[in-house]
Amino acid sequence: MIGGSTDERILLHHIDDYRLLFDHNPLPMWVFDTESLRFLMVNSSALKLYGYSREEFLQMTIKDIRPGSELPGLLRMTSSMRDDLNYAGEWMHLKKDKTPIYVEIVSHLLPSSEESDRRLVVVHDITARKLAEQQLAEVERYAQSILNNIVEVVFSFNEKMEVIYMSPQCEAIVGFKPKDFYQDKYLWFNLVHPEDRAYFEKTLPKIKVSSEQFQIEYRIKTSAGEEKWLITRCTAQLDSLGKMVRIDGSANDITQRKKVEEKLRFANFSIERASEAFLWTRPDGRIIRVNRAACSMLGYSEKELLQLKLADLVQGYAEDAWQSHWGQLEALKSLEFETSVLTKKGQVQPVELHLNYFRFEHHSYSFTSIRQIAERKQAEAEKARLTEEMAKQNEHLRQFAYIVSHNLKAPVANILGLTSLYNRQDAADPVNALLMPKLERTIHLLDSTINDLNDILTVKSKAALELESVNLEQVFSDVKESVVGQLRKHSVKIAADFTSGATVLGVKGYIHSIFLNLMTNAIKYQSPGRNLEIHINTVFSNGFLCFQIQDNGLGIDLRKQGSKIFGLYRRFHPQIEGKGLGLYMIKTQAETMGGWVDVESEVEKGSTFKVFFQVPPKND
Amino acid sequence: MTKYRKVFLIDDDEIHNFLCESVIKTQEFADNVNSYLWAEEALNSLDSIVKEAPQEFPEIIFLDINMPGMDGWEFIEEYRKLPKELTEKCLLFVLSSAVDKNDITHARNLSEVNDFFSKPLTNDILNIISEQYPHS
Repeated sequence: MIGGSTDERILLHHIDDYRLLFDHNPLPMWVFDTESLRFLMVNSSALKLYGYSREEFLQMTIKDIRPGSELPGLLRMTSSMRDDLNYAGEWMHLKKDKTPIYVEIVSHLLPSSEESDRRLVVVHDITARKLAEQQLAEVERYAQSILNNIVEVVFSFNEKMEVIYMSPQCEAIVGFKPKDFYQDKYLWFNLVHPEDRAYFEKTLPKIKVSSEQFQIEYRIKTSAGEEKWLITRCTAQLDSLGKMVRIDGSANDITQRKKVEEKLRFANFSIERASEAFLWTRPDGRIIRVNRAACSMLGYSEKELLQLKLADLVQGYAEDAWQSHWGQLEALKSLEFETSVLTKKGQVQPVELHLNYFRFEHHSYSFTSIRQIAERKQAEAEKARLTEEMAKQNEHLRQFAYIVSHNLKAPVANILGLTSLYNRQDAADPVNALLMPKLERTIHLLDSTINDLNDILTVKSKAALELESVNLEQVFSDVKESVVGQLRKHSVKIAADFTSGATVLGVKGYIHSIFLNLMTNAIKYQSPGRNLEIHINTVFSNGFLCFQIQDNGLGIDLRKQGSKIFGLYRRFHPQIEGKGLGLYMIKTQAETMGGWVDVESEVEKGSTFKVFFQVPPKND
Repeated sequence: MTKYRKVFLIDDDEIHNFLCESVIKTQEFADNVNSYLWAEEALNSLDSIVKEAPQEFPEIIFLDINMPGMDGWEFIEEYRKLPKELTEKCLLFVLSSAVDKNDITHARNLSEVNDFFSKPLTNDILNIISEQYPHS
């Protein structure tokens, strides 16, 4: 075609131009024979993409750059009738090194020549896009799988708070299918428990204006009418103007957790509100938990108690004592004992401790309850006091029975005997004259016994006695005056000394009676061998004033009579007239005034009687 | 009525002793009556009799229970220690004004005590004794 016409030259120029267009095109291109499928031409972009040299490429057919899996499709395509311009679509090709690449193929039929048809193929490498699409699909599959497999229900609401997505878990949790929520856009809100609706409605506006995650716990009614606790975590999606466009979130069933929590709270509440003090200790005695009652009983704050050991609180509880106690507790599982605890202010409180051993998650503990027993102790003391008082009363009663049986019966028996001896036939019988004075004596004895009993009953029946300040010296001088005749008759020497104290708390009449009895006893039981001397003094002893009266009389053998001496109707000197009532009267009167009596005596030396009196308070 | 040779009275009540002596003498119940205000005194006397003149041991003892010093019960404790051949032949009666049932029961349960009588000592009591315990 060299040296042709101008048109021809122009044409030749054009051909060169197209050739350039083909060779330097950035898109990979080739021309192939539609019959043999052999490559006829290839540009440098194609060679670069597939990694072949031009010679290698032109040795191959279009089948050689494809994986076997693509060949049936390719053959179907090449054997079919195609448009001149054919969008063949996406294909997978192989590079020389067998790396697959994704391409989009467009082919165009070239003007027909002698033997066969040729097609120009333009290739778009879409490998990068294809891989990205595959990755995206993969991620979507994962996301879907996660959505389907998590226990939580996932949802989205639009700006009108209508449900736009609800994951299938909703059925397991609330008993409705996703489609129920798509049909009834507000179903979720209508499931909320009426009591929690206000809380729900209060929180919703806050969620709508924030991009923070919110967490709310509330109850709902399931389709079966069952009440469930849900936790919802959700976040609003806001547009650039801060307006909510969507709320995404999840909800989960926490009914079980709530139940356990409630049980725990219930137990805690009970422990804290209990009026009994509880504390928990470890084997070393360290306190690890206390309740409110324990704090208020012991006067410590919870923080302070947790720094202490049980041994620090229990009085007289040495460290080694605790160790042995723990050993016992481990063996017996439970220990109960009475002791005292020391409060922060240093008060001692009697308590009953009850230690319970238990193991929890591989550790040993003691759950200890502390019960105050001050009131019980007081009640026990009161009971003991009443019992003692009753025993005393019984003793008095027994002694009264004894008087009736013996000391009234004895003179009556004598009167009966004496009158039976009386000679009624002959009044002048000298026996009668002998009987009369004895009868008189016995009747007087009986009379004064009855009077004394009356006095004793009077003293005893006065339960609550008004005690007053009494001057002992004054009373003693009155008593001395009343027996002055007898004192003179026996030339009695009296020395009285009240310098140590004279004022006591008592009843003047009783003190008078006590002194009179002691004085007449001293006179009555004086020794015939010596002149009676009486020494009187007072002395303080343990907060009581002791009145002592010492004589040099007959004395009493205390080894024989000791226990009986102040008993009712005891006599120690049969030769001397006496009813044996005086000492009992003294004892009764002294005890009624809150004091007591005591005696020291030696036969043929004399006796010392001591009467203890209460004294008025110092500021009186 | 059987007449006894010797009777001991042990009672701190002087008037009662006088009464007993009078009744015993009037009834010619015994030749001799020894009265003691103290049980110790009576016991001393029995001791000397045991040592010096056992034939003088009393045939009857009237014993009071409630006495100062040694009481009736303590006396019986000591009396028990005296020679059996002498105490066996002696009649011991508790004579008391006690109406306490326990005292009466206790007295009757003691082998040394022959019987218990309530005061005062009367002709009837003496009759009962002479009928029930004929002179050996």
